[in-house]
Amino acid sequence: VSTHSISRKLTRMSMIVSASVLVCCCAGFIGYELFTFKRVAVQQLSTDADIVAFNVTPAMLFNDPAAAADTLAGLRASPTIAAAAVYTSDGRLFAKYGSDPRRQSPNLPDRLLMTGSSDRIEGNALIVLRRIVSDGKPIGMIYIRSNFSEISRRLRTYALIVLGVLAASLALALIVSSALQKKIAAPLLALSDTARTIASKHDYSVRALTPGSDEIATLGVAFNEMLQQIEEQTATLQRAEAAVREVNTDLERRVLERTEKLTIANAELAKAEEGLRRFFTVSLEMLAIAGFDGCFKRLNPAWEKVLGYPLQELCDRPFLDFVHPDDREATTAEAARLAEGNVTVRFENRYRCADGSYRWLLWNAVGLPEEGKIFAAASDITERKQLESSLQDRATALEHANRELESFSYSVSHDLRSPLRAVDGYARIFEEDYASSVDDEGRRLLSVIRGEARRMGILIDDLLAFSQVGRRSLSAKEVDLGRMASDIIADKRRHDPDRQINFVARDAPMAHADSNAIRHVVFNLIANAVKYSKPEAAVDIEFGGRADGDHNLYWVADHGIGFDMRYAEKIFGVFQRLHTNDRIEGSGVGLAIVQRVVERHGGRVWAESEIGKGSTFFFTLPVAQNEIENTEIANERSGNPAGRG
Amino acid sequence: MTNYLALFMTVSFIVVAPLRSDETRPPTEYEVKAAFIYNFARYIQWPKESDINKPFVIGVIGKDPFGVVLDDSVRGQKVQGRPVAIKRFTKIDDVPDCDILFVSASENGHLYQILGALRQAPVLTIGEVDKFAELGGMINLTTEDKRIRFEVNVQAMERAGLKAGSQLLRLARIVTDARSDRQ
Repeated sequence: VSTHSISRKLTRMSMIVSASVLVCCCAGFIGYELFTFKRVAVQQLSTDADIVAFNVTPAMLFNDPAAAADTLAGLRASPTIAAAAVYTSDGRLFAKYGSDPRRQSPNLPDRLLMTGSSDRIEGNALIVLRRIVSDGKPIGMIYIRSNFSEISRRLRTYALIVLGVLAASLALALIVSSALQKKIAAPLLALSDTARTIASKHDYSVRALTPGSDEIATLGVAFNEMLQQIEEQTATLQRAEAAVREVNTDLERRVLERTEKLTIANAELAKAEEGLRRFFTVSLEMLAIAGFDGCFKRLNPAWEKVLGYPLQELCDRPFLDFVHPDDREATTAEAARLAEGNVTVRFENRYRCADGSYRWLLWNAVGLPEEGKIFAAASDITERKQLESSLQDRATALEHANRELESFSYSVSHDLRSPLRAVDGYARIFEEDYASSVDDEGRRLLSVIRGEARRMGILIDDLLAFSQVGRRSLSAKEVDLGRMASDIIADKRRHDPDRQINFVARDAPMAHADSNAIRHVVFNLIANAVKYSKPEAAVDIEFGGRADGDHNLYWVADHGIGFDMRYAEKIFGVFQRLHTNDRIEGSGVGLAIVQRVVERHGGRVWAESEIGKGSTFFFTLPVAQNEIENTEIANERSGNPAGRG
Repeated sequence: MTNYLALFMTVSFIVVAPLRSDETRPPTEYEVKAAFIYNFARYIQWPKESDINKPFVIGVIGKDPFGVVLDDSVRGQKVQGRPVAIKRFTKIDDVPDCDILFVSASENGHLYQILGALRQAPVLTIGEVDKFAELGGMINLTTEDKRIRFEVNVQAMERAGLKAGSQLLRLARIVTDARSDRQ
């Protein structure tokens, strides 16, 4: 069957090609002939009309219809001209030739008179109308009608020729193509027979016979090569199949093993998940998973306990609805940070409870942008917040009280001075003016009065100094404490030239402190050392210092009378004196000032001593400038700048 | 579209109507003759005239039967590139340079005199009486079946150096000089 199909296809192809080429050619010829024939016919008829018009002019001018008819009769020479007529300029028939059956009136219709010269085709006739012009003036019209019968005749001839050529060509094409198709089809047939044999018998050892060197022969060779390969591949495939089957068996076994392991692992995972879920359920902390859409997805029961809403209600609305209006902006910003994958640590906001009150929540959270989730844990810190707040209130109250106390003591000290001065003044006047009036005992009492008044003055001064130390603001800069100590020693020697003072200044780092305030410290410590030295003995004083981490450590040591270490804390209190020895002057304010100044600088002061051997006073000052300021602020905040003295 | 058509028809009517009414009136005998005279000039060749600005003179001798008709039919026309002028004479002696001379029927008695005077002059003589052409006139206008025809004396024209076109001659009745005149 396939044989016929291929040869039929080839034949049909060549037939279609030749037929279409022929039809195109003939159509072209006929079209061209039609076109040119019409043009030539019109041209010819126009020429005829022009000649007749020229010849008929004198006859018209001299009104001679017979002569005009004569001229028209000359058209007999053209067999295609069926009729002709000459009309005067007003359309009356002047002369005619032949007859036009389609004309009813002998005269020219106005319509044509108006048109003037024209060519047109009316049915089977070509009509030419020309104006006859003499001396530039129209004097009439000429009308010539030519039959088209010649065209139809010629077209018929053409059609016959075309049909003949078509038939002959097709016959020729049929013969040639059937001869040619054998050449192509025969090898294809052989090839297709071979293929069918192979297909039905699955015998790949058969080979196709393909003589020649054209594409079909090449196809045959390729086909044979393909058969060869198929034969080889079939063998290979069979071997491979066996191998695959073996591998498959092994794979199945391994899949089974793996599945078993997976099942176990899954069970363990489920158990772990169950454990985590239990934690989730029992946790006192509020645990939450939120989506980036602003709603909670999963909450643990702690939420219900703290806020009082059913969990579903919390999940149904955006969590921002529950946040205190003042915290919403911060919460939104924090959620946005989380959405970028950041971690939130110790974020605080307030959530509204079912009863309308607000609870403070402290949050730790982490955002996972790839999952679109926020994992968050919150603690209810409302109680702590309340505590902090009450603590803050109390600290504020305390600070307030302290300030009042301070200003009270300042004004008291200040106001006490003038009556005291009056007491001393009047006592002096009395001593000077009435010394002779009183006996020795009286004079002794007077001097006691004056002495006590003076002592009270010193006390008040010290108190004022103490209170000032706590009030003045500090401006820290580099201070050389060793040099400062040397100056103070020099001063002491000048005031008390009888006293022998041995002073040793060790290398000490520069201090970063308020120079006026720190001078109180060094002065008081040296004054203390001088004051509490062994009577009648030389005073040995050593000043030293060294760096100690972020602080500098300084000390002032003496070989004085020392004190009992049991009172080591007590000595820095105001008006605390361990030695109630009249011989030793002192208000008991000095060390309090020392402690206050050092603490305001952010340092620490303490003492080490042994009775009879001497004392060493230590103090530290922070190295960095910022820390002093910070400490000051911290001290101001805590409302207790005076420290614990 | 209909509007344009109506407009076109109205305009055609206005333009054509006066023309037709004018033309339907059959032309008078002398209107036809005036046209003939003018048309003859187109089919006849005169000896070459050098001065192109010199008017082409059509003369009428004797009693003028045309009235204004001849003047009307040639007004603004040119013959052989020259402007046409109409002149009227009473005596042949008064006739100066003239290209066409129409001899009125009133001059029947003076034909010999007139034709003799113009015998070899290049003047186309046109008459309207019997035997005008036989007597030596060049073209004679006659009436046949109520139609104006014409006779041409070719000899007379040749004598005067004028040539008539074959197309004209085809329409004419050719006559020759009468025997008595030939001597």
